[in-house]
Amino acid sequence: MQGFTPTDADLAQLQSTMRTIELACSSIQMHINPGASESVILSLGQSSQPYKTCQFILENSQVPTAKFQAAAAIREAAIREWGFLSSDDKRGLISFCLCYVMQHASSPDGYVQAKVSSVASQLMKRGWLEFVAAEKETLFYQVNQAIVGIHGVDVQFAGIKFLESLVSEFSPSTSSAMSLPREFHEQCRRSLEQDYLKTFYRWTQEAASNVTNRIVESNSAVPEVKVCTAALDVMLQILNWDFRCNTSDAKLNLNVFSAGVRQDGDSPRRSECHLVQPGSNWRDVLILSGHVGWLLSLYAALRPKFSCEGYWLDCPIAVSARKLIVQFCSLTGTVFHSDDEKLHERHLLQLLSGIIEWVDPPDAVAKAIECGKSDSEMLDGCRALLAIANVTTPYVFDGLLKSMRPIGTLNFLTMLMSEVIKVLMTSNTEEETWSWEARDILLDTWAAILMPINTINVNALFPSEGIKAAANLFGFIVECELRMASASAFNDEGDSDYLHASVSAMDERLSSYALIARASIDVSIPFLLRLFSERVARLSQGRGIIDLTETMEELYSLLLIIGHVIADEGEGEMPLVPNAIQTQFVVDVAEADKHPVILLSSSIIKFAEQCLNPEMRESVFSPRLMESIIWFLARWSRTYLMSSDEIGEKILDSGHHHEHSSKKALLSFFGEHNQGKPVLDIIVRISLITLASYPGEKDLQGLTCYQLLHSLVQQKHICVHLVTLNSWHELATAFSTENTLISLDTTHQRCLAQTLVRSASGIRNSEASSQYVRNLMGHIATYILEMSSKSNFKSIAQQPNILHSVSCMLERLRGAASASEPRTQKAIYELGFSVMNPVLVLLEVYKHESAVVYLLLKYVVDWVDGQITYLEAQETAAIVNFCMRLLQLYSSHNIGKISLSLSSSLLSEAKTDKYRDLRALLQLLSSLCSKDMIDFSSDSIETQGTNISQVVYLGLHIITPLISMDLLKYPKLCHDYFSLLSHMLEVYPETLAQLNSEAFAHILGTLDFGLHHQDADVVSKCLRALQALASFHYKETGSGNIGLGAHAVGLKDSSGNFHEGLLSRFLRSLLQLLLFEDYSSDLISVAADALLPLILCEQGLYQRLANELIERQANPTLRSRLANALHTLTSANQLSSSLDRINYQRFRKNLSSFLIEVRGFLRTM
Amino acid sequence: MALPQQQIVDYPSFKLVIVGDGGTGKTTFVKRHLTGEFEKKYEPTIGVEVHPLDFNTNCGRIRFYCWDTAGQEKFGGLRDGYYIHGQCAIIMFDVTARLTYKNVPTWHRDLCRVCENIPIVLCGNKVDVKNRQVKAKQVTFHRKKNLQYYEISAKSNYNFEKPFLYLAKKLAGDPSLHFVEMPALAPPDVVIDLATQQLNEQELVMAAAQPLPDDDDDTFE
Repeated sequence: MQGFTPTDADLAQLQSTMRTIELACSSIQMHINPGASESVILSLGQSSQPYKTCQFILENSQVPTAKFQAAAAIREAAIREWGFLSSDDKRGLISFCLCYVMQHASSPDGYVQAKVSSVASQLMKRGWLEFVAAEKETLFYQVNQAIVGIHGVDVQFAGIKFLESLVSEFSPSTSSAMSLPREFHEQCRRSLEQDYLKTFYRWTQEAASNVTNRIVESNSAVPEVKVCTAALDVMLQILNWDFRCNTSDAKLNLNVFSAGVRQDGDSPRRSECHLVQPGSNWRDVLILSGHVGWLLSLYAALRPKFSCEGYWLDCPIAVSARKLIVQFCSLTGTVFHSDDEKLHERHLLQLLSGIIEWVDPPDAVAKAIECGKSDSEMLDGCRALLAIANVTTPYVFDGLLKSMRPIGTLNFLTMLMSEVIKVLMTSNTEEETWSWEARDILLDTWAAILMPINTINVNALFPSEGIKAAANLFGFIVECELRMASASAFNDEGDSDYLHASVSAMDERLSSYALIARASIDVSIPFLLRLFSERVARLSQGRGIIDLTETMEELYSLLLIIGHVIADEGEGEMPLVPNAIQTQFVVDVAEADKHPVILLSSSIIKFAEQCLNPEMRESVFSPRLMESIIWFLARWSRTYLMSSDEIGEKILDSGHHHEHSSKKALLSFFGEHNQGKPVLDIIVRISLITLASYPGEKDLQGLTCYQLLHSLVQQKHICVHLVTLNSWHELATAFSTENTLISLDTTHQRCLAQTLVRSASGIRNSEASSQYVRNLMGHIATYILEMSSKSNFKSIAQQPNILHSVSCMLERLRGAASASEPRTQKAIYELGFSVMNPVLVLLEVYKHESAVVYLLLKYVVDWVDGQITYLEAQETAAIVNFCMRLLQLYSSHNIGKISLSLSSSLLSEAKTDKYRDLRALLQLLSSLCSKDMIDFSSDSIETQGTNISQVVYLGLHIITPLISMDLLKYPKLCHDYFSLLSHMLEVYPETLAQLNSEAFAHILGTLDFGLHHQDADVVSKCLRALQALASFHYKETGSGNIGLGAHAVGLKDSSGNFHEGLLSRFLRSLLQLLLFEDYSSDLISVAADALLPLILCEQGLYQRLANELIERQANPTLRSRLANALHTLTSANQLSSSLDRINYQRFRKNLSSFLIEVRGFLRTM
Repeated sequence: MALPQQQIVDYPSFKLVIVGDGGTGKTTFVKRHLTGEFEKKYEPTIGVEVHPLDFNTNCGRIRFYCWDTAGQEKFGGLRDGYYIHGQCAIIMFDVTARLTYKNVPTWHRDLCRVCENIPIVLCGNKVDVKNRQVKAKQVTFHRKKNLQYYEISAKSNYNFEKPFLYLAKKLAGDPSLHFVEMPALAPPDVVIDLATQQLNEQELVMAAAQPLPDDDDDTFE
């Protein structure tokens, strides 16, 4: 390939191709006629063996973009044709690219060089497992020569950049796809890590240190800076590598290194911390070589240059050096495991001595940044502290600084953080400033230090100075927060911009505050109690006399902070009493009421209770303050109120008695037999007040419904007490019979209905709980019944008040339906049964009121979903019958209703409504399906003649015509539809045969659509459906049955045209897809599972198709390869004609190697 | 740089490349600016589509030619061939689909290979969706690579202009640059459940602590 000398005719051809490509490339840049230009460019890479042309363009074109595309085409073609290139060709291509990069190292078009370099590295990776060591050595010799610098700075730079490109190709997170199995990439990764990575590191390290003197000695930027920066980047890239090879020796040596450096790496909070663990054989190059010293002195030498020309704090070399330094802070693991126990500590100490210059003294650094200095050293310094905190224990962390400063690192951290918070307070802008980011990093640092103490005893792990530092810092943070709160009291901007993003950020922050508070819990709880009491006192003294807004705002913040300090969120589980609170208070159970946490909780509850008094409510309890109270009560009660943790208590080792006395005192104080019930009563009364006496406060009421009440009824033992409270019955009565709560937001009403019904699980007697549900919901059913049977209902239905109350009642029904449990199931069934006919009337009357239709469908979905598994045969029949009537009615309203005459926006709105409805209906069908899977009833549903599969098919039959291809562009609907379809075909393939031809054709049409969908999940569902159909047919016909019958055979229509059977049709299209189209390689296994039974069903057709493929291949070599491959596909690995697990697995393997073998040349244009 | 098909403008214009996995909302994000509409349907982009977006700043008007590229492997077209002469970029991922975040390093690597040292913004889209899979804390890639990160929601307009503002500041070399007249946005399509509207972020903490029960189906996508 290299000794190629073109003839004149060749030359003319090459030049004309080059001009065509150049023209297309310029057009693309100008975006003229992009489609045509694109296909011209793409055809170069798709053509057979375009390498000469591409090389010609790279060497001769004056248009850089054309050279870029030529390189891309080499990559494209070589990866595809790799299987039948000679090994000379392969090496030739790689070495062409490498030489090209070196020869053009000083060319100004960096992106062309980078592209060619990446093509070289991708091809090298493609051949990695087949090249012998000597071949690799030859290629790398050239690279090494370049990096050593004998060909000058530009070539040196090019060599380093090639390494960067190569390493990124071998790293799993950035590897390029090559249509090869995952194992290939994994083997390459492992091989590079074992045999080359350290060598590469050393090469770049040497290159960097060889140019260091030139850089340090010169007062302006020299060309070597570029080389050094590139080398630093490669070193950083290698230290970012996900090292795996040395994980085993980490476990062996666990005890050798006990100098207090942490081994765990899986704390949830440390998700963002990347630990660098290259293993012991990197010790020489990273630690013992004095490499870190060199790096620190390089950066130290750069710092004074920041005022020189070509340098500044954020110039590339400075940025890269700092990043590498920070990365070295994360180094840990066996690389330090040696006889020298202090190795790691010394390493960190050395780093810290350099880094401390960036952030010390904090006040001066902060001031300089506020005056315009770049914040990057400060932020990188904070990041380095975070990294160090992640690999050390608090003792080691604190000790590091003591050897060079009079204070420990923890005290320094407090100083630094206080300074950052000061700046944050004064700047007070919306924009995310450096102080904002620094605060977050430093909070993470504290979290990294303090997190372990949440699980183990504090004192053992934490220096006492650190505890004091934490207490001071927490005090300072709270003061600042309160000052900010009161300052914002009259600031009425009411930003609506905030979203979940900022919520989770804020929540993280408060949780970090809480960690700091818990480190010094015996100081911080009394401190918080004092702050709280002061403000409450101020409220009661100033009430009616002075403006209390500021104090209320402070209380608001304080409640949030206290909530985070004394209780955890739990993330769906029941949270435990925080460890610090369990262990840090020594309390006599007899004097439980003196426990600081009990004192604090009681005073907050006592304060909250005052809102029951109308006068107090008027003057003190603003809706906003109430929100924080409700939030606090919800969070607090999940941990402390009637906690069922007493079982755990008994298991605990009695030896640690005193440690848990604090927890015991707390839980028993607010337990069932002590203050629990009175407190629960207060909470319910406060809830009733927020729902009834704060009209229009949607958010407050949402908190009450979704958080407070909802979480109370999650716990059965609380329900037991709830249902005995008068206050709870007042709430239930207010809900069911009074008009007060009808003005709540409708979704809140749904939640409230669900909550109230769910509390019935606390009623011990089953009849009584049914009665409770009937009392609660009876009025609602009656309302709907009466309304729907009014003779003038049609004429009044559209009146706003009627519309609103119908909507409310449907929401309430839905809430109750979704609370179905075995105990209340019967009552809820009867409730739903009684409104079945009225619901159909509503559907008819409100058919043009899409909002009501949707509510109604969602109610039915939830009702059926909650009931179906429990129902007896007769009840099932009733429900199924009802669902069919509903589906038919809905379908009759909607089929063909979307008219093209509507304006496009109306059209899209109508589609949206329909989309939601259809999703609901698909969910309804899925729920019905589940009856065949899980059934708790006593008799079989077949006794009533109900066949679920037929029912669901009928349903599918009714709704598929409504599901247009356009609607399938809504991703969620698309997924729901294909999930249901593939489930149906897998479980009931026989029923498909019974569908009429129109419905059948529609379903097959959607299957075909799904097979070519861009979403791999949808394609795989369709493939599963195909597998189900074909294997059903194969097995049935094998035992003499008709299987899919006429649908499989194909037929002649009235005009004599033959229509292929469905299996033939899909065999054809699946083969077409697999051989010629694009798809994710993850799909190959599923495709194999579908293809095997299709081939077995249609062996004749398969043979014909295979022969056609072979005959179409003009090249004799390729033709025989194809014939062999096809033969191997169906014969290798002892493939048999049975459809068992082993055979499927064999065919998966066969198909995968078949595709690797032939796709390359079949897809060549 | 101007494109002949578009009218030539006499104010500064820049080529902005938008990349990221398929279905992360690149096209929706651009269209949101162009027409104010939020597209609920998904139709993959084929190859590339170029749209001019204008912004008014205190230093005058600027234009971004947004090269909205295909994220789907099978509709990729020229892929990195479109990045050439890009002057700034947005890498988009979907916070509700972890894989789209895992692929960010590859998009970034390909981008940097073609466009050296251009300002890049990383955008986590769809933060309005309740069950997000990539938490803000888990997004760390930008820290390693000195990118700017924004959480955005094309559906609710959240942080919509932030990426453009950041890029404009960097390109102008003027940190005090600001937009003088907000681009006309359609009202948000979603009202983000109970707590999100007029509350400040502290109130939001209370709401985020526990997700609302099963109401997800009232939203789209």
